[in-house]
Amino acid sequence: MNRAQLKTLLYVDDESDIREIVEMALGLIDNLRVHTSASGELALGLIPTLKPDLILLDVMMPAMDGPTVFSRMRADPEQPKCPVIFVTAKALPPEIAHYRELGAAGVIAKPFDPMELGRQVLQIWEHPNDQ
Amino acid sequence: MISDDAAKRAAMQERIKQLAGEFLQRCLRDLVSSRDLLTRLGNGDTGIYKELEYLAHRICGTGASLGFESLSTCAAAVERLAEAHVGDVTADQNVAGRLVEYVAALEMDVDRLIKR
Repeated sequence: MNRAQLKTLLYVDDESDIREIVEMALGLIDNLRVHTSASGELALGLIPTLKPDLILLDVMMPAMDGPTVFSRMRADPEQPKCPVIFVTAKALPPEIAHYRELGAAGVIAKPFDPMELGRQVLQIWEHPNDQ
Repeated sequence: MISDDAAKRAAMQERIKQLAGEFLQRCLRDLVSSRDLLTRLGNGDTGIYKELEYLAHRICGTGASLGFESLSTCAAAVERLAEAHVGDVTADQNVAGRLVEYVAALEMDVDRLIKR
């Protein structure tokens, strides 16, 4: 996908520190508006109006985990079908393959280097089938 | 394009340092909660594993992102062991003992990092 098409991104994570770090890190990408959500439930309410170009979903969250949010998004016709990247500490090759089978555009491993996160996101956005 | 703005990057690193200090204080509170959970486990309550796994997961993921690799490793040991026993119906005292050791190691590392 073309870099210029990425204008709005939503990051979903229950951890406030990580949300803030991600917001700052992705704020280094030119012309990208970064929104965050503290839970899957809140995100599902936000996505139809926000219509993000890309969503980054933490996998392990209380109440509703990332894969559940993703499957609800895909099952609900009201939800836009934008690409989703899972962010997880469990990023061994079989786990990455599992998330890819679910339909994720890519997987970013935790911990990530805040200075490099923007590049990782753009790499997946531009070449979603490379991982 | 990704900004190479040095001021933005320096501000980000400064804020990450602040978050790291706040995170360590929060870890102390999470460790109190973890010890409470282990007391319950010692009394036979096996319903604590999921909560303990989540507390350790939080310390593990956030800690590593803030540059506390050793802390993250200690928390990962708690997380993995708790995760492996989610759903157990009887409390295994051997597992409980190992979790107590792992949480104690985590506590020592938090103390060390706070005093650094």
